[in-house]
Order: sequence, then structure tokens, then C-alpha cells
Amino acid sequence: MTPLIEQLKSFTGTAIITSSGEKISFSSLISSAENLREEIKALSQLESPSDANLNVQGLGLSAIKTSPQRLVDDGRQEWELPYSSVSDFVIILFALEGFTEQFSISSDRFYFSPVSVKENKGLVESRWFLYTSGTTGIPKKIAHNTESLCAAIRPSETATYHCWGLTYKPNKFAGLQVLLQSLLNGDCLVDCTTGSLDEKVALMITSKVGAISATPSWWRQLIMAQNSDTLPLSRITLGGEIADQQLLDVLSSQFTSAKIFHIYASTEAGVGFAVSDKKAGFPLAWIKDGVNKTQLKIKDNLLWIKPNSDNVQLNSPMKTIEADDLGYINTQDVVSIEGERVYFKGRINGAINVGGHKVFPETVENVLLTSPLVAQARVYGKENKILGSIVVADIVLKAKPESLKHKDIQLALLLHCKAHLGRKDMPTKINVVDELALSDTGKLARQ
Amino acid sequence: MSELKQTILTSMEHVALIADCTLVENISDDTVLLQSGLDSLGFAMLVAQLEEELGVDPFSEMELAVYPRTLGEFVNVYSNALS
Repeated sequence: MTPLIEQLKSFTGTAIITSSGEKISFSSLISSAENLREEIKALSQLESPSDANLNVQGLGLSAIKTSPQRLVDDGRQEWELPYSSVSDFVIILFALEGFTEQFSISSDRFYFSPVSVKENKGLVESRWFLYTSGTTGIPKKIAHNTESLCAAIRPSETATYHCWGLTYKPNKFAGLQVLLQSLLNGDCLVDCTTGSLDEKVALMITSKVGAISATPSWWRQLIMAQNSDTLPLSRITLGGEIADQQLLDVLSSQFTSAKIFHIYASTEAGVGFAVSDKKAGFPLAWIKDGVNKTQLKIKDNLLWIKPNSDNVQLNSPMKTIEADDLGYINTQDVVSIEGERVYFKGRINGAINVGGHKVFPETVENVLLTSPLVAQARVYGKENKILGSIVVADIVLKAKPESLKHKDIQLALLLHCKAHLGRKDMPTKINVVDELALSDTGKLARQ
Repeated sequence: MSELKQTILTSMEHVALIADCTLVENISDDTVLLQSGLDSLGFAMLVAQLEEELGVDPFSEMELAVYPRTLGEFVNVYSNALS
């Protein structure tokens, strides 16, 4: 595959708008990345590069440091390159990709082996290591290659130039997808990863962001933000959490000219599929026929996915991905079939055990979100002497109804849940809160 | 009837409505809790509801598990926790 940096060379104009509104062009991005490569090459020639510092002019990149604490498996040292902004991240990424044999990306730095750079005679196929978000477990290190990470990158529709709002951290799988989709199409990436929601909305409006990919939780917050309805969105993508019908309806009525996709993807399996019919869940036919060369199956109510990439083979030595003999990965997502549609119920290891009955917080949240009173909801288990756990919900109201007391709201919502949920799935308690925290992957904080 | 007992009875009615239970008539101090019409889920909801009303959950605060048998004993647990 052509190194990514080469693919950028046909583009002109702005590549990145930083969170402070500064514009960085494709040409300066490319020259910074090439300078960085030269510096790394020069450092690799040194006998003891540990004292050497590296400065790429004008970019504020911190120094390259050898990191004696980090020894890779064969005893070699790894170097590290810290980053503190999306533009630093992009420069390091495009410098290392196709240049060093492997690199791993953490939340604040890249690690790579200097030896592989020293021996580098030409172009290399880089192996990338990403960390899973560990939403319901310990983060895992997952191997990818450039091809598997670019498998879902699509050419922009002709004559539509997009400004992409980056809401995910760039080191996460979802963030990399947005970053690569934007830059490899010559579009502009707007860093919306920092600042308050109002600041992000203001930046998106002034930068004319037309495409945003974010979690359903993030979208629910955006809808509540002032002026968000004035965003000229033509492409809306939801991922990382279950997209409920209520949210899809609100987004399609608020952004009438936008195409709306909800994407099923994970760091392990890559991008599985995108649903574009503005309906929750996905067609049952995909289980039988597959979708975009991705195969799906349901076993014991869990969704298994066979990706159209080498991910399983790439990771088989580390045994980090649970796959069966046929190459299907266990997604840990519980699904149910209703009519001709498959719906997501929640994560198997996120279920609340109420007297032996498994309650999926996501399912209860989705019911609460269908109430006209509720803007955001988080459901969790609370220890209980009688049942082991009980179901508790924290909700953010759409507006503060003056005539309704907290008690009345709680009763109305409990009756609403009663109409849509089984007895044991019912929240026993509903707390009205001002806001719900999101994790740094943009998902509801569940810990 | 004590104010506390009244609060508990009102909460029981509230929970019965939500948890889809039917309370027996003429609930008194001697009424056996598990024959009051609320099942274990109903009681879990009742305890959560009372924590909201009274600000205490004596069952999670107690070091020893105490399982009151009758309504009178249940009221006592709350009365002790509040004193």
C-alpha cells in the first residue's frame, strides 16, 4: 500500500484547524512529517542517542527520548514521541507510517523501535498497535496494519468538500477513522476534542463543519447545546454505543439534509458495517448474507463478526482477540431479533444481576430516552441486600418543567418504564441530575 | 399512626403501583411482609423509595443483615436508623 504521506501530496489547502482556530495546510503537514523522519534517521545513526533531543521547527513537538524502562520483547529499546495536540499527532503518525516497522499509540505518545528505522532501506509495511477503550474491561493492545485501518475509508462524494469535526481522541480506533477519512480525501479536520461543548459548537460553526462522527451520548449533548441546530451538517455518523430510534429521529428532523449513518465497529474487528436507513438496529438479512464482505452470526444471543481484514491473523500470536475456528470474533454484544431487524440490547459483561435476572443498562436507557421528558440517561446497578443489585437511573431532563415536582417526574418516568419494560428490568430509583459525564472515548462513563 | 409508619405505607402503595403488585387490605403491624402483596422486587423498590423519602437505607448501612418479618418490625428498623 502506498505510504499514507505520499497520498497526501496531491492535496492543497487546509488540512487541520486546531482547537484555537489555527489553520495548518497539507504542505506544511507533509514537510513537518518529512523533517521528523530525517531527524529520526539522523538520531538512529548515533551510538547513544539517549542524550539527543529533537526539535521539529515551529511545531512545538517535544523531544524524542529513549525510554530505558520500556524494553520490547527481544530486549531492544523503544523510543517515544509524546504529543499534546491533534496536529502533533498527525505529523508523528504520517512520519512513522510506512517508515518504521511498528509503532504503538497511547493516549499521549507514540512508541517505536529505533533499530527498525536504522535498518530501513525503503518503504515498510507498518504494523500499528492500538489500545481498546476497555469500556467494560481492561484495555487490550490490538495489532492492525495500514490496510486494515483504511479498509472503511471511502472517497468523498464528488464535489462535496467536507470539514470533519473530530470529537474522538485521535489515538482511538474511532478517532483514527475520522482522521484518515478526512485527510486521505483532502478534506479538513477540525479538532473538537478539547474545550467546553459551547466552545466546540462555536468552533464547528466558524469552521463550517459539515461532517461529524461521534457517540450517541455526544450527539445527545450536542442537541442540547445552544446554536447546534445551525450547524450545516451533511453527514452524521454515530458509533461506539447503541443508536436508539429516538435519537435517530431527532437528528433527522433537526438536520434534514444530512445523511445519517450508525456504524458498528470495534478496535478488534475494525469497521463492521454502517446502517443508513435511519432506523435502529440492522436488517436481519445481513446475518444470512453478510454485509460489505463482513460476515455476521448470532450464537447464544451474542453477535459474532468475521471482519474483512487480517485482524484476527495479525493478533493470533498475542491471543488478544477471542475468535472461533472460522475466524468470527465474539463482540460481547447481546442482540435480539424482532421481525426482520436485529437490535442491540447491551454488553454481556455490563449486565446488572437483579435476583438472577440480567438487566442490560442500555436497554433501560433506550426506554427512558423514548420519554419526551428525558434528554440523557445512564442506568447502573446498585448493591442491594435483597436482590443482589437493583437498577438505578440518572437522567438529565430536556427542560425543567416548572409545574412538575421531582416526585411527579419520577413517577411519570417509572410508569413510562412500566409500559415498556419487564418487571425486573424496571429502575427502582430515578435520580434527576444536571449532567452526565462522558468518558474520554465520548461514551457514557459507566464506572 | 406514627408519621413514619404513614410514610412507609404511602411508599408501599406507590411501589405497588409501579411494581405491578396488589397490596392486601387492612395492613397492620402484625401483617407478615411477604404476605402484604409486595414481592422481593417490590421490597427492593420500597427500600430505594424510602431512602429517597427518609434519607436512610438501614439495610445497606447495617453490618448484620436483619430481615424484619412483619410490618411492625420493618417500621422499627427505620425508626432505629433514624433515631
